[in-house]
Amino acid sequence: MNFRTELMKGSIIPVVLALLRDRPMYGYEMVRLVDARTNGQMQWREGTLYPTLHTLEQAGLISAQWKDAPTATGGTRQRKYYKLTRSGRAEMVRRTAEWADFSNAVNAAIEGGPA
Amino acid sequence: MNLFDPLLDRATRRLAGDAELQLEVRNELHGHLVDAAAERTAAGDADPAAAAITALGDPDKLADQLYIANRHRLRVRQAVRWTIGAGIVPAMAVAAVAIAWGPILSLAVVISMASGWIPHFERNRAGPIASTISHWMLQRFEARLSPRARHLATMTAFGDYDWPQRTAAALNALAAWTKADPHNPIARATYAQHLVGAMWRNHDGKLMPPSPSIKQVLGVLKGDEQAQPANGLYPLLQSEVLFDESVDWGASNIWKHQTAIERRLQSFYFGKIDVSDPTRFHTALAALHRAAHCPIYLTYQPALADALAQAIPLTGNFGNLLIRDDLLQEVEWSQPLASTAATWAGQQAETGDIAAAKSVASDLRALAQLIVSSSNDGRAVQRATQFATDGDNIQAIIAHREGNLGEFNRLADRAEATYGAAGAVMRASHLNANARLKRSMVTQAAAGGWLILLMVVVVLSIAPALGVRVASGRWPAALNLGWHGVACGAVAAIPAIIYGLWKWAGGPSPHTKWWFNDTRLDLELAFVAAVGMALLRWGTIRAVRRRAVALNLLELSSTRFGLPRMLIGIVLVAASVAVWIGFGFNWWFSYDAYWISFALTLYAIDTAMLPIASPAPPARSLLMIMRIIVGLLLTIGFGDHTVDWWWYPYWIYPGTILAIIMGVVLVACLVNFIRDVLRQRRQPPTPQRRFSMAWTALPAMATAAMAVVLCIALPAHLSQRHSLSSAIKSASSITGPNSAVAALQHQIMAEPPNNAAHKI
Repeated sequence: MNFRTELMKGSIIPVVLALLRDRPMYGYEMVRLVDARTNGQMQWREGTLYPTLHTLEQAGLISAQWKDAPTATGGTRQRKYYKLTRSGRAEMVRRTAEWADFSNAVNAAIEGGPA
Repeated sequence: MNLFDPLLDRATRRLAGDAELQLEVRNELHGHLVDAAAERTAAGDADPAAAAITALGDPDKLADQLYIANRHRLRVRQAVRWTIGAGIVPAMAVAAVAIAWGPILSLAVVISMASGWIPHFERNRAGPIASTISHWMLQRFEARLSPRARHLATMTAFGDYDWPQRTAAALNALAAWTKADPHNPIARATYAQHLVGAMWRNHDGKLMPPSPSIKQVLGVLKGDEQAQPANGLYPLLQSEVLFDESVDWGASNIWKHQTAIERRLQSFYFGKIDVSDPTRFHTALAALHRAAHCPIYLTYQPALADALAQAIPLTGNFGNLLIRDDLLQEVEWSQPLASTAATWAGQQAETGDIAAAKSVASDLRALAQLIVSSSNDGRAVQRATQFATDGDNIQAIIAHREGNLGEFNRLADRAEATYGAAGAVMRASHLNANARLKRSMVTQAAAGGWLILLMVVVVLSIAPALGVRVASGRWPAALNLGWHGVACGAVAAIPAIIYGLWKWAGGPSPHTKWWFNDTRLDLELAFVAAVGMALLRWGTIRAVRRRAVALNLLELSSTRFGLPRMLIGIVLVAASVAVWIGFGFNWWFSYDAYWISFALTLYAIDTAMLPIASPAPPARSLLMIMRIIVGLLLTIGFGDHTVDWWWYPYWIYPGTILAIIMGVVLVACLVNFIRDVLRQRRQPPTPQRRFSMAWTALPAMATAAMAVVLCIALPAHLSQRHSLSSAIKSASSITGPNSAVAALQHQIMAEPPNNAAHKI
């Protein structure tokens, strides 16, 4: 399923922050992980990820470091790993809760609740 | 993966204002595309690259988004760059010049003085650049002295007629000192000797400003004689003044007394003189006689030298240290020699006035013995030689005139033996001074130079291998390169090996001795090493590039600028060979100095070209710094090698200019190195960057070691009493009793003054 662009744009920041909650990742790794977790339902236009990562880095929510990483052929290559900063972790908690509240509110509005 | 380049160019085009950011984003996107393409390849995609590009999205839209995301960073960086460009860089340049100014000036003085030039004493020979710098340094040096030290230095730093203001100031200061402390024998003797020394005459024999008048000088000297009647110094100075004033030297009449008896042809040469003022002339003869029969003869020069040495503190600044030594040497002014009286007596002996000649000859020998008996100082004893031999020569002429050939031969032999003993004193002094100079200045410079050369060789052999190991992660590649470096080193060592074998096989022959004698060995081997270094560098860089191609390190495999570098290497080698030839066949010819200058300049140019040849930016700056320091040491070493030659002026202009240029380049290299390191740190950790930083490690350690040697060990050594200071001072001095001085003393004192006269 291809979601509308507006929906994708609104969700990308909380998703990226949530992806980095457990460990540092590089860009392509995030794309693959989202693809795997959503069974291909949520397919980012891959290029949009990097401006988002740079924006979060500029805002001090994530930081980046170049590191060696194994390649599929058995060698190693330099990749840029991103990880949450202290303020990024707080922002991740806030955004996750906000998304849950928003999602619940949208669900309630769509499904119909007490008038 | 060149397929990705057009996309990457478009996606990062709006980041072009910050090249480092652009490169970093480009590398990140490139990694993404490679990963995506690899995964699609594994999944059996027919065109994985195209699929990866499509998945990344519209590159122009991505470019806009990347720009928006990094807009703040771009603006900040741009503002920082402008700020740096407008303010910090000029400030750093000013700071760098301020820091480097002292070493540059010191270097200029070192080179100039090591080339035989004394900063203010022979100003007209030094040329405007070095003399102006050193004059200014001298003034700064004196300004920092204590009032007493400045007073002493001003009085004794005497200057010549080319610098009349300083001479006049020195005389005024000395007069004031004598007036303030009339019972101080050092003050009185110093003033008297400077006063006589300041009587400069032009070609017509007339006194020139700021020379004091005859009346003033004689008045002072008579007062001195009354104050110290036992000291023969003052009547001897009076006689010198009066002789100069009362005779005319013939312009071209060289008068020769020649004998051809028994064993050999014996010749005595004199300038012909005419007595123009008989009254003053006979007063001069009487003063000479008075001086010869005084109980003591003291100039107080050693005492003044000691006072100056204590008053002027040692300094850590190399240039100032040399100026201090120069000031200390100023006390060694010339002594009156009574050559006019000797010449006149020789003429009298030739023309039959034997009694007058005998009287002067006896006085001269008595003066020689008086000087010897008054002091054990080698300088004083050697100065007695002229009196003794003048006396013997006059006596020999008298003996020849009277037909006493046995006595003639005895006196001629004695004069010759006295000259020989004096020569032995001089040789012993020079050997001692040269040995001490070698131990201190040249040895340090050469040892430092060789140490640095060794480090450079090690660095050039190991650093590229280390860099390749780090960049490739493979030891075989590094080992291969390491062996190549060893092979290059062996090639570079061939000249030194040949020289070692030649020396082992029997050493220098009479025909080749001067090619590799001790005084030029350092320089010759330094040029051998320079050529060897060029070969080594060429070989290792060539090997690095070959390995870089194999390892796909594209930035390192560039062969640009190879031809200019080779041409410079060829010219450098040719210049070195020319220097050897120039030294070998035209060592007496002054223009070979140009070849030396030329070669060293080429060395500097070759060093300046190093950044083009070396692949690693921080390392190339460090290597340049190392080579410049080696060049400076070679330059200083060269200056010392020429210290005995007459063509110093030919070196002063290029030497000083070269020193300043090298100093400026050195500072520029340091700034460049810092900039390179900062830039490298901001780069993504690509293989190229890791290679650069790995290669930088060893030069950094070597440069740090050099800094330790040059900034700590050398000044620490210089600050010691038995250091360069005393070594240079002794280069022009014969201090303290030794066997050669004792032999000369014995030679002069062996026979009473009138013994020969009694025999005739």
